[in-house]
Amino acid sequence: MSTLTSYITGYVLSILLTLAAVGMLLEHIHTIHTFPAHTELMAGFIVLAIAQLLVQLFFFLHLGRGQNKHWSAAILGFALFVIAVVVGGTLWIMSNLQNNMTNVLQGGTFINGQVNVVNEND
Amino acid sequence: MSHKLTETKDLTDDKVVFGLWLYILSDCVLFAGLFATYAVQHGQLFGGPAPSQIFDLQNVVIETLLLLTSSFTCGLAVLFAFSEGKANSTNKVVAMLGLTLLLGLAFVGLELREFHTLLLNGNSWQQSGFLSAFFTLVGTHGLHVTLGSLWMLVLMVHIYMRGISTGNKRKLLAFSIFWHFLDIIWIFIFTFVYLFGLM
Repeated sequence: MSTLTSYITGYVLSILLTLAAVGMLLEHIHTIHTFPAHTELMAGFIVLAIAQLLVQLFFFLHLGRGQNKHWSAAILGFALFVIAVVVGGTLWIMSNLQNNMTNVLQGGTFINGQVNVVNEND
Repeated sequence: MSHKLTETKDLTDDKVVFGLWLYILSDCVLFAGLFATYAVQHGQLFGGPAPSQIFDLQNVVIETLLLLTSSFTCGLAVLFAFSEGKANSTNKVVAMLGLTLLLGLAFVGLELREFHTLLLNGNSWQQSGFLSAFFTLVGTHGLHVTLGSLWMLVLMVHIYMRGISTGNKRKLLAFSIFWHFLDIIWIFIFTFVYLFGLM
């Protein structure tokens, strides 16, 4: 495949993926947030974003060509792992904190930097 | 129409280009931190506006199309620089880079206009956790695009003065990787900040 074809294919695909995402959002708003449903819409957006990422990597950045491709791919894999740890770990820890702090705010007091949880048995 | 890429192969194996790839991926980790912050903070409104109240879908779609097109024209600049037997291809490369620069600057302009409108309405980064995280994430990307535009301007002068030498080809290839990377980051901002915020 010549590189010009590769760039044009990538460009057309990236535009189509963007318009598909916008179309889904507009449909969701027009149907007063019923179709596509909230979770389906989120899943759709994530799938389209990943497809867009792959289009950019393969058609524009030509990942997987050249003699260094194994090293490039290995480093990309490591970066994705670090990103997953940073984003996933943050969300995990913060949601945990949120749950515990919400509990404190609803049923406890915060005096002199110490959390005193009010027990129902007291 | 066939474009043979004889030297790209050698250059993609170049240490400089490989080193740039390392930088790009460490920059991805920086953005991962900012995305994680935004994900945690996007619901912390503190009496300020919600994402759906301040995002303008039309503006964002135009920004996205501008950046995608600039990524494409940047690719064409690389293609023209590396294709064989093209008379006058220096002008073509400079023209394509010029087009990329204009699209990039239009993107930055639209983003600054969005920020300006937000600030005029009193929705600054001091308003809420959501807006702090929003300005940091989107602003960092915008700063990258601005600095990339400066890089592109210097590159255009280099190519215009010295033609398409091997050194300039390497510079162009390194720049194009950076520019495509900014496009990828924007796709995720577009999805996780704007589309998620507007639904």
